[in-house]
Amino acid sequence: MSFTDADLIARVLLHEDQNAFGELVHRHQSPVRGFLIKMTKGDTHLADDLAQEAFVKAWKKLGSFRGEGKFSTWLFGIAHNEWRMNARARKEIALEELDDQPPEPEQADAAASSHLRLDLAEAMKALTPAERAAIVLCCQNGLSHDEAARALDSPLGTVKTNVLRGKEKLRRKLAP
Amino acid sequence: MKNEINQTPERNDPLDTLLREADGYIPDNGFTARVVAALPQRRRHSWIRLMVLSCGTLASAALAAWLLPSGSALLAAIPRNLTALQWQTAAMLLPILAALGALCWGVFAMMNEEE
Repeated sequence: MSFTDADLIARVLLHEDQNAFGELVHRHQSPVRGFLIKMTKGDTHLADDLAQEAFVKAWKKLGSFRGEGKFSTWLFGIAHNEWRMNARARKEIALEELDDQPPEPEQADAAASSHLRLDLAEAMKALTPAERAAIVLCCQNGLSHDEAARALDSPLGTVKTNVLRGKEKLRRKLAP
Repeated sequence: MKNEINQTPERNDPLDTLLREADGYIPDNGFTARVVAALPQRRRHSWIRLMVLSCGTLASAALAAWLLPSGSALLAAIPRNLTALQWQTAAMLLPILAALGALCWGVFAMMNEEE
């Protein structure tokens, strides 16, 4: 018998059930860690530290989860906030937001299919953090624009623009 | 229809396919165990503290209102009895001081509470 996220959340709130919360962590660790790995440009150690902090914060604040949206959307919001606080402390955001230069022309052989995933990972690093976050949430994790806007605490229009602009940059970067 | 417009990605876009396929499952490798080991105690009874604080505030307000007519006389009596504070005066002040003390402690504890 498998419990829904809502069942597990209720168990945590009523019985302080760490096993139930462990099940929630196990279910959502991959997308949350994947999101943070991309946001930290591949720094897996930092991403895992931030993911751990995000889940601990989710444990503390679980009572404030109203169940209006998906639990994963709420988690992404906490994870994004953790990344943002960390990046701000490391003064990364201000520097990266300025780094919105047009992409450099790619080598003709760069888009060979066997290297496409590697190229994609590299191309993602060229996006601004806001574009990267929007692309990862909407295109890789299947969140709607509305959900991504809620998770990123951004206006809906900004998220839509970031997705379009990010995809356009990726297309240009990956073009043969 | 509006919901469909808001949904991403477009299913026929090769870039979206590439993005979806590139996002593989990350094995747990002990991550969940580390998180569970790092979990602090949840604050289960914060509502009880809120109730105690509210009741304390109400009780102290009721006491103040009850003692108010004689309160001015009490305050006027304090300077005269500073050297030899009568037990009766002290006993009258004690509940008010206790209520105020509890209120201050509660507010201080809430302010220092971990987020």
